[in-house]
Amino acid sequence: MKNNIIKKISHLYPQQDENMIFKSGKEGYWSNLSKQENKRFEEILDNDGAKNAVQSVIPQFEKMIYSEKREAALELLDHQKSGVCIDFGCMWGVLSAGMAKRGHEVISIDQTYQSLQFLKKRAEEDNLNNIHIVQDDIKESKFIDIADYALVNGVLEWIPVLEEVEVDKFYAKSLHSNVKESNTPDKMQEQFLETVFTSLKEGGQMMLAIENRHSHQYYMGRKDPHANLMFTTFLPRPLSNLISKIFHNKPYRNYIYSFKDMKDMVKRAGFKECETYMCFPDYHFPELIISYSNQGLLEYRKYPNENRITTKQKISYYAEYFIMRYLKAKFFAPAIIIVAKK
Amino acid sequence: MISLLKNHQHYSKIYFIEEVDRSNNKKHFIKSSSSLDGITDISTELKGIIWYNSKVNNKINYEICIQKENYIKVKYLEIQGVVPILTKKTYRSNIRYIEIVIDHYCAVWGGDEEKVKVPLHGDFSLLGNIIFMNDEIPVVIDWEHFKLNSAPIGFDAMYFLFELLWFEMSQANDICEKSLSHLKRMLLKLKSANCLNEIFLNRPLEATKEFMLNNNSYWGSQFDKMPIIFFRKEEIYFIDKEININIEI
Repeated sequence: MKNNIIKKISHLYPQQDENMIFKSGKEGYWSNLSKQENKRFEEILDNDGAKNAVQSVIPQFEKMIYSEKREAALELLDHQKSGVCIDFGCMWGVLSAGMAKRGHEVISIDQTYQSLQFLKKRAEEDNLNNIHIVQDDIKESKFIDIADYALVNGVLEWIPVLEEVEVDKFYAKSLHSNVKESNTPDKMQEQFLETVFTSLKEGGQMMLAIENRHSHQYYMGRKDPHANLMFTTFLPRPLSNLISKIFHNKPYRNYIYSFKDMKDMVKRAGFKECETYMCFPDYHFPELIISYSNQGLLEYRKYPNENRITTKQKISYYAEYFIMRYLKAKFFAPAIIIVAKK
Repeated sequence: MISLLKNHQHYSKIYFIEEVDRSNNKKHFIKSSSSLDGITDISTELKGIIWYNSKVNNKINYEICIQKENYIKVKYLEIQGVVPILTKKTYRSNIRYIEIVIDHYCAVWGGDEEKVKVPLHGDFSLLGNIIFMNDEIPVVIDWEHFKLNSAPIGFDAMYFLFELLWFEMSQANDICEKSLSHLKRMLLKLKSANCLNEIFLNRPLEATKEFMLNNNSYWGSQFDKMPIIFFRKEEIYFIDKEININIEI
């Protein structure tokens, strides 16, 4: 299967560089690190390897990159047969590595070259020779009917943002952008899901993870994790747009959705069967993933969370417990995971 | 319907999933892992279950779904029964279950008096690791710390009894005399069934804790959460003294 996959990738992306990364010629930048930090990271990566580079330059991200806890949502997929998986917007590749460990041939696509260089190095260190890396704009990936699995993990909400993103700067005020978006955010997101749909074989599964627009946390004053503003997730879009323009001098484009709207969009993109799950406390480090149904809600229970430190976080957790256990208001669960079949 | 109920909880590196087949309402529990520690724990558990199944009539029903170098997934059929809950009177309120479990221990571990060391369960706990079918027949689960022939006979039973005592003590802030005298009776029962190594006769709690400290690698990263090691010196001295008197009687 491996040779076959490499052949197919080479056919679509004939250019491959000295790091064995397939290239489309399109470049972009989305990273938690600034370009300067990434440059330093790259130097250490070359000399000391992936793990050492993380530990010395970005120790705060070590858990985020290496923790198997983050792979929990992959357990919703059926791994009985090895197949081909495309990890759209793989970044440092925590889920790519997870799928590779489960025995699949993984095609990891991202626009940020430095992240891909890291993944290449990590895959070598971990003896994961079934990860194939492609630098491309995920919105324009060329794969058709090739994958048994597609991962869209924390990616959909960033699709409408076309400018380069250094996360810390993106959160800051008054970021000017010269990029003119061609379409409305929701339309762009739907088009992207159609691209994902196209990449899958008949019967192939997509796993999508995203924050819930109506998470109880946002009603309790937690800032929008993408716009860094209060209340913008659930307010009407024109109002959120206005707030974003006033406070950050840029339009509001990181759309996230309610359970129903997210499922509707996935279905509009062509997917047939959709299993929807609630994820607690978030999809990055899930402690509990249960079906978005009344029966699923019965499985809601207390769960540990080492990041529950401040009084505000504790109150938010008790509020969640009350909302889920007694009000049975699943609509307010913090995050959404959808497993959809082509 | 699939629910991920535990994700790397209590220092383990295992995903714990519940799967309900809506067509026949059968429930399975799945343990899987993609980390080396987790894979080792699940593989160890399988060895423990194989040993346990060879000793009992009510066998644990399992199926290895996937076993690869970097990933393992094992499915267990739900064992329907009662799992006792943690209360402030943990020891006192579970006397009936305690007696059933000690009998079960003697039946499963006993009968091989010649052996210096016997298999170790390692987390022989009433609180979640023993299910009572029809509220009567115990089935021991969670064999992640299993080690063949590596503990003196009686160790798991000691662990079982003292863990309950510790929960009662730490939650009610008191040691009940009734609990202690019952515990003594259980030790005598183990002794008369040849299921208590002599190291536990004079100083049962101290010897239990000592064995754990000397072999902490058996428990890996979970060692720090084992209740027995939280017993303080004075508590150990007091409890051992109380129990010792009765054993001599």
